[in-house]
Amino acid sequence: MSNVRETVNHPANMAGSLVDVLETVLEKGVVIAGDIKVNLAEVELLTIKIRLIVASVDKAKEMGIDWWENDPHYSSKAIQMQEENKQLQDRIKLLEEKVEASESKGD
Amino acid sequence: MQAEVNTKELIYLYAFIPTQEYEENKLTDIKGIDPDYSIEFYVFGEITAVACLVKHEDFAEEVLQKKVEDMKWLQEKAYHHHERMNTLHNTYTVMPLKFGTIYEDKNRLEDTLAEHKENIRTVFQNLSSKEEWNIKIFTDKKAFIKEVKENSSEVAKKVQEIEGLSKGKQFFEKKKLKDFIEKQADKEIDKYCESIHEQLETFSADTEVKKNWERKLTGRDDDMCWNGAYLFPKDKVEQILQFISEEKDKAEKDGSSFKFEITGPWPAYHFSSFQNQGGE
Repeated sequence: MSNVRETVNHPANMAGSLVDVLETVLEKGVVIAGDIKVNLAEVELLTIKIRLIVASVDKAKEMGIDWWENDPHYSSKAIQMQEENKQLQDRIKLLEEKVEASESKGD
Repeated sequence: MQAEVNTKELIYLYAFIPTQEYEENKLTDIKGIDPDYSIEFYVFGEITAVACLVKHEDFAEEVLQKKVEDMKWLQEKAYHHHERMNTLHNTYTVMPLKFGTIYEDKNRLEDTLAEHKENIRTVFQNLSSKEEWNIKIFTDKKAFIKEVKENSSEVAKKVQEIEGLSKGKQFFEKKKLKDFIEKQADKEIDKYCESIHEQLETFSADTEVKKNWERKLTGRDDDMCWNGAYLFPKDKVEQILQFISEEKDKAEKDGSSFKFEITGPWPAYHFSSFQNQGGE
């Protein structure tokens, strides 16, 4: 009974949950009028962008981002540049769709 | 007690905490979001603002707008905000502010604070001896649909109905059957999640149902079907964790694909809003 608590993730230890942290910190909390106004992109978009720019795999793993591990394209040693390229293209397309969707939502 | 605010710097505000708690236990030497400055505690009567000086060259409006578009910078600073809030939350009742709340000077901050004093006090009261937790439920939707297709009595009934139809009609109805099964699966998933939520609600001082994230956000190979924030009384947390743990075991034993992810305690980001108090 007493160790139930130990089985859960304390937010302090969950560097892995990028979306959790971004969503909570960037979207939630008390909003009071500050003197500086800044527009933040939608968290979904931010998360995808951040994952896109993660340059080194090791660095990403440190941050707990390892979603490609189950992806045969990445786990196979025989990654060809063109395959990577295609994936990037897909992701960019996805990003563009997201941007469009969020823009039209904002209208 | 505190250094006079230099007009060359701006003030980045993290949170409000009750002054009484601050007086009892003063944290010092915490590096701020601008690493050249430490976190300061500005006491305004019963409320203490936790803040940090930041340089114009990094945080003035036009600069900041560019900076937040730099994902590396934003991620680093968002994590900083998150970590500092956890540090505060370990010691105090914390009203966390949204990332990027910045004032020109201490007077402007004081004015804003004076305006919201009553609301802040109410939120402190609502939050004291409570904790925010996040509970997510996942399921492998494809497997779930397959399961429904094979075992649902609703689906079996539908299939029987279709078999009684003319051949032409059968063709169309069979096409629609796939949708029907998927909808039925969704219904059953919702029913399960809602029943868990309802039970959690009975323990909670407040709840917020959040959006489910797609796989490309979670990076998981199953699907999020529930995402809720809960404000639990501290003395109930053990019991609630036990409840979740039992539901977990039950799901496992039943061979269902439902998985739970519970994180906490969080600073009460979802339950610190002024809106509930009728403020502006």
